[in-house]
Amino acid sequence: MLKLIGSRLLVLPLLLLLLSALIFALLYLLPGDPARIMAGEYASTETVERIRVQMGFDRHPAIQYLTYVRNVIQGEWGRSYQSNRLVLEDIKQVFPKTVKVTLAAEIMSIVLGVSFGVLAAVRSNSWIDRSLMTVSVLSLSMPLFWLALLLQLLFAMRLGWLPPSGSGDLFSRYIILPALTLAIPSSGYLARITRAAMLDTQQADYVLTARSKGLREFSVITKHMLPNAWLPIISVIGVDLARLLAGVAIIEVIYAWPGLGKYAFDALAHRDFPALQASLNVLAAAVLFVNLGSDILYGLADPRVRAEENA
Amino acid sequence: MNIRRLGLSVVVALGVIVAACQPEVVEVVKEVPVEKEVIKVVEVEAKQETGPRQGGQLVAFASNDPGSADPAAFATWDQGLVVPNVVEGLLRLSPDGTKIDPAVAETYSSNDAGDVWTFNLRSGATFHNGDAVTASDFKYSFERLLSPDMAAPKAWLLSGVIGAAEYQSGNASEISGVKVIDDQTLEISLTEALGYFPAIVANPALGVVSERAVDEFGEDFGQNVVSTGPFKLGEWNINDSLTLDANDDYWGGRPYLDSVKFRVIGDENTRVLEFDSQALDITWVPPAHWNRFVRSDVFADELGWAHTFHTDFFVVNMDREPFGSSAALRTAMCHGIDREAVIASLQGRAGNAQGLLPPGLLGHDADASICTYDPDAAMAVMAEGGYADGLDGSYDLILPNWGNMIKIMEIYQAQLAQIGININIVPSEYGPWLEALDTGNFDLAWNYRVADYADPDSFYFPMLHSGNIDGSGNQARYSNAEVDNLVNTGRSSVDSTDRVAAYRNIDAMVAKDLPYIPLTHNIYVDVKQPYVEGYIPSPVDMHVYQHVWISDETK
Repeated sequence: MLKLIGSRLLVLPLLLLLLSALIFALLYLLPGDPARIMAGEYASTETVERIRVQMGFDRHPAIQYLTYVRNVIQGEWGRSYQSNRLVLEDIKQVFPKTVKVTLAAEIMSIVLGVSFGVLAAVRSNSWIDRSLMTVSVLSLSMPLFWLALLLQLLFAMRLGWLPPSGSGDLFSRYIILPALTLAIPSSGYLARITRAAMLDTQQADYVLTARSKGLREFSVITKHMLPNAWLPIISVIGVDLARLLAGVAIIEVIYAWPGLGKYAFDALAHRDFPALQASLNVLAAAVLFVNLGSDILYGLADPRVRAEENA
Repeated sequence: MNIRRLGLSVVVALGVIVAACQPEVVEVVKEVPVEKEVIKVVEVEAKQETGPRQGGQLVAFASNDPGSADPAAFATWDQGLVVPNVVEGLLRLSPDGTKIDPAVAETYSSNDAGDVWTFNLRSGATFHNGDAVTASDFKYSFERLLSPDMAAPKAWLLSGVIGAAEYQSGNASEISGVKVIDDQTLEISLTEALGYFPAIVANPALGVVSERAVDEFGEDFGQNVVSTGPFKLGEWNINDSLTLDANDDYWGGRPYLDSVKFRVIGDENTRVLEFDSQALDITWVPPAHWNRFVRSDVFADELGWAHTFHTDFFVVNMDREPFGSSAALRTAMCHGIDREAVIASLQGRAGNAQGLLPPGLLGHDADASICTYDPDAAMAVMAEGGYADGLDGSYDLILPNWGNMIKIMEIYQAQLAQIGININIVPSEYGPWLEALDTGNFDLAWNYRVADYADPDSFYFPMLHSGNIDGSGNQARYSNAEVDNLVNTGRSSVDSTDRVAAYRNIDAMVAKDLPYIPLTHNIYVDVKQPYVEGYIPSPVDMHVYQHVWISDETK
């Protein structure tokens, strides 16, 4: 197990480097001349060229990239073109907000998705199963912005229980709506996966044995079926969390949640390259760490993975 | 192809679902205003008895975090919300945009030629940190704006000052044209007479900043601006909110409000929800909510209409066949488009442009009708010009990739097709579009202009003067010596009668030559809560909250 974690950790910096190079290349190809943007309105060609040299935009892209990597490692993430604030300080403020809303969403999604999935599997082919699966398809197919609008109208305007937008701590009322919006489609997907995984175990020998031992159905489900159904669920949760992190921007914009997604969105609109580059790199790193985490969980949940590593 | 069609039909179906659900949903929201009517009646009575109330917080919105409140970083719409409330210069534009008000300068005058301007500073103006404001602070601030290291977006505003170019390129240690006569007197000499120089000076980018504070905060000055405005920077949570606190020592008296909080809400619909729950006091009215507010008993009176200093138009490349060489084609285009149809599609939030100048600026001719909609007349002009059977082929019209503009272009496209002119709508990224316009690599384009300073010169000089071809604003590449002379007369004269006469002459020539085909002027409409008093929406998107008060004691 330790070996698995160790080898993953060794590959991680390489992957990060690869991704950051890819991000650099994408931004390099993005239309819009950074020197031109920095120079201001009606700036003379002379001014633009001076800034180009000053900022090193005239050098070979590979040199620019290596300089960027060196600076990032030294903690110099540059200043935003738009606000002149330190990008690293900005990221320290906005990234935890994104982590909070994503984690809250994932927890909601697991609680809702797994319990509905188990319920549907246990009552498979009943009206409960069919209605749950219909709802899950619905939840999957709703566009996020529309779902957000409906939830705002219901909970903020009609019922008046929650604020329509804004931000607060992890345990504040503000987090509920954005997290729920993210969680609904995820839980729909998770419910379907859980149901399928549970049904797969239905006919397994150990389940038949447990039943023939005369165990109560509740014990069969919680002690024998669910632990074995966890593996596909865990791998889906890992992918899902990464997807949430990457797709959180639209939710942050709609709910005025000051996270990394909204920050990156604005940086793109302003062609604020240092801010955009840093946001994308941090998001990429976060996704890598989530994947690492889900691999480790997978190993913990599946004795075979541990055994193979030790053999 | 099938898959694409399927995708399209799914999108259409979703649109129908959304549309079908919308009225029901909106119905729900309607419950809110009814209660407030009562509140409003009470407030009106209270107001009459007590006058402006001191205190309270106004909650407004920004669509993005303004990032920096530094006048040397001033460029974006969101900064325009904050900077004029915090930063102040010699002069300022009145809230309704109609005149130039004194600010730190109590009075000002120019020599007869109009190329030397003297500003007399009031005593008692202090920075937010308590330091007195003197003429040398202005010299420092102007030099900071022009300094090569700042690369300030609005540095060009000072380009008419003697010595500005030398200082900006690093070849001079000071701007020789800015002279500190004494602590209370500043003299600015220009390379040529500029009758509208006060309008330039009123731009918040030329606001005064404290050198001591700049030294103290260094690179972080943008988030810690120290100037002389009626408000000072308070708590700032990135992408969440920015609070401005009343400046108790403001020379013009402390504002009524204790503070103004700008909440960063990018989504226009979310803003309306926040407004409906009274967590936002002022918001722009998005199209989807237009009817609800206009028909509301409570809010119809709370709408603020600002005729912005904005004109949008078609640019005709005068160097290219066939549009550039055929006045008949340009005249036909001008008469062939039904601006009122587009204005109706914008819910009436635009004005019919019959010239380049928007209403509210000196010399705007409200009675002009150079391009009335008349397809028959348009086709007659086409026939006279040798295009009796319409124009062969189709021509590209370029514009930035903005969804709402593309829809409007489609209306114009259909109208022009009726008179036999076929255009292709070609949207592109903003940068490449602008580059094509600046280099003359296009036939037809859509573009717009917003006054950089509240003066007709902000339109006529860049757009029409032949010296501004290639990147300085004359994108039609229009060259007419007579117009050049009239533009120069308009900009150098300090006498407004002379100026208006020159601009009327320019209008007549532009109506004949039509290098730009005027389309519409924007009208910005926002809605405020009934308890917000004294608010004037700004025609330049720079609302000042100095004279605003809140009559609701609980806010």
